[in-house]
Amino acid sequence: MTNIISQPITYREHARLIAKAVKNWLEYHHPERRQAITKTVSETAFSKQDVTFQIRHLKDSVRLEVMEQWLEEAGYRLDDYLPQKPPAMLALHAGNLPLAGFQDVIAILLSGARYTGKISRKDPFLLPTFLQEVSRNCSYISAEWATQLEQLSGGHHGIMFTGSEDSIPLVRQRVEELELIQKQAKWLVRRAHFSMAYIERLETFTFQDLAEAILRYDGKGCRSVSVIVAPFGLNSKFCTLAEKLENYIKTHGKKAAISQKTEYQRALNVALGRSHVLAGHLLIQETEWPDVSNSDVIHWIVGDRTMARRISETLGEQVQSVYVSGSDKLNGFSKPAEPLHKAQMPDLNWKPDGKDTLRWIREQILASKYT
Amino acid sequence: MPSSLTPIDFSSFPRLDTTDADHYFEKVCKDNFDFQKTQNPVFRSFLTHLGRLDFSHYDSVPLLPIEAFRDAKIMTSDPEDYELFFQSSGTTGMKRNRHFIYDASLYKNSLTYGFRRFYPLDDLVILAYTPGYAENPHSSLIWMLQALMREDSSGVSCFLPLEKAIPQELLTKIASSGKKLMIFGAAFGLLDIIERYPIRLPSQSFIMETGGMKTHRREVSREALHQKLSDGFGLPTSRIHSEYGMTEMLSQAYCRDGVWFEPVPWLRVSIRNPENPLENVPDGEAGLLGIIDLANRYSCSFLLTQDIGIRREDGKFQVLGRYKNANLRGCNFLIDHD
Repeated sequence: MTNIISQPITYREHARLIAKAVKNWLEYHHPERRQAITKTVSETAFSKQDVTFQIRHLKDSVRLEVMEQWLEEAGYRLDDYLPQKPPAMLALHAGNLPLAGFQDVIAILLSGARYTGKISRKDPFLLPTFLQEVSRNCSYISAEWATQLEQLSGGHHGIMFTGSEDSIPLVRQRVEELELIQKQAKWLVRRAHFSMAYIERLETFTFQDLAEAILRYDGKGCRSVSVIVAPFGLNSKFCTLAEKLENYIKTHGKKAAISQKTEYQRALNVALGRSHVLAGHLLIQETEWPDVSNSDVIHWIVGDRTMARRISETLGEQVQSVYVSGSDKLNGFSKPAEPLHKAQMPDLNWKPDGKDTLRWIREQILASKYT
Repeated sequence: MPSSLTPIDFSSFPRLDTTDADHYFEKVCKDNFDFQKTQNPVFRSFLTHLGRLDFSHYDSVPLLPIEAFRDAKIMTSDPEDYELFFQSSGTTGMKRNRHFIYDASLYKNSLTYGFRRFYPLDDLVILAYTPGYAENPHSSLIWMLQALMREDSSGVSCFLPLEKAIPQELLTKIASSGKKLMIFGAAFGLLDIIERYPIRLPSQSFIMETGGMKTHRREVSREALHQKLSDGFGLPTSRIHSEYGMTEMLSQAYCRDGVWFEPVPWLRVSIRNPENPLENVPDGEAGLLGIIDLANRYSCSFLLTQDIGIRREDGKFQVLGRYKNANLRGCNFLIDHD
């Protein structure tokens, strides 16, 4: 696999062209994108509301000035030229929410590395239409993508994906079997699976934002909230979450039926007199400590900042972010604190698992002696 | 407590592989179910919500998740009627599971008669190595070991001092008693002994490890563990056995071949679908390990653990580890789905 950029391009110009590709793709009448949305809604598990939400969010967040800022923060100089012989990065995209891998795509493209993407079979339509637009706008970029690993070329210098203790060895085995990566390839594996919300000051907190943080994408995605720590109980007069969840479900047409497994858990809650609220297919229950083994159960823990820190430290790499109200700080936490309203609308340059992807590519891949 | 309940005769309970076993088990099981359904408010509420108040077969009874023992008193009578309680191990500050015991003799009979089904208790000296249990005075394992040790007429059975070698004079005493030695301990405690104080045991000795494969330090498979213990104690792997029990149970299962646990006849396992615990999984397939422990007469006989296991036709079972949910909430690239 070789790709040579024949004309010198600065990062500044490169970002401009990618931003243009994004803008074109997000134009209302973009035919391929519109068709991809229609197919996604009719042929995948994603709802129209969730797909539209994601597209709108990308429109707001993926802009030229943000890309330039991200490049600079990650140590790139805008007037430097892209590497003439860019190394190749392989991204394996999960498909549990629409366009889950978009940030990775932008990061790889912006870095100047060659992008290869394994598109998820669960979300096969949207990303390719964006990549086609990129190819049209940035003819010097040679990107490759497919829904089957076997269809991709090999010899990549780096690989990135999100996995678990059980899935990572299988992925490793497969990509090595197919010789998709070089022996010295660098791995960027994300392991965080959910986020937490900490309610400290009720006056700056909105349950509407919390409902969104829980229910958007049917609770999926590492930025969705699975654990809530608050100084009051789920059924306290201060807690209007149940009402907001109900409204959210009605407005967004969310799944209503809980699974047998969750029904079983609910039976236990009733038997134990444990406070709980149903939110579509999700069960929010008040416990003393979160057991995150059931992905359809959200845990509400009555506690303070110390408890929130203890939980986030104990759950460790499983926790993506801790959301707080407004501009509250969480001094002493090992996880970044983010405003709750950004749970499902992260900035383009947010750091999955605390790592800046664009910086990682520069330091691990572009700067590597063997590339 | 009602005298209408079928007594559990541990001494002559039919063996697992006999035709009488099923009949007797179902009879006592139904008694327990009917009794606990009316007398145990937590279990009753649980069954009511699931709409399962009738008994057809033990495999169809909804199993109470053992986390219930953490958040409620699982009882069929008033608290003051209970003799003692057992508590699971855990870190300071964490709420632990509690199992309230109405009649300690029920536990004693279950564990001693159960043990005798597998081992010649009268011919054994039991040494126990139990690091970490000093912090848990309500340990059901310690109680069990004490009960077994009291059966030793030689008086040699005892708890070994922690972080010290097994005294040679103790081994000499055991040899001269004419009895065989059994060392009981949690997996990693036993590994610590052989790593720090290597010793060769008499060839007729047994090692009984009680699980605890996964600690904050390391995780090893049962096979690898048994090999290490075999090498470390100088015994064939056929002398390395395992015990399956927990705070929430009064009965045990024993593994003598390194793979399959055989429960005592008044204990059965029921493998349930993790996605729908009301559903059974066929023999030979993995699922959540459910326990039906008839000795749990005065708490709850019907328990759902977070262990994954396989049952085979003869009622023996394997424990494969803790349940891990593959359907993680976050992005998780799955090679077969994505």
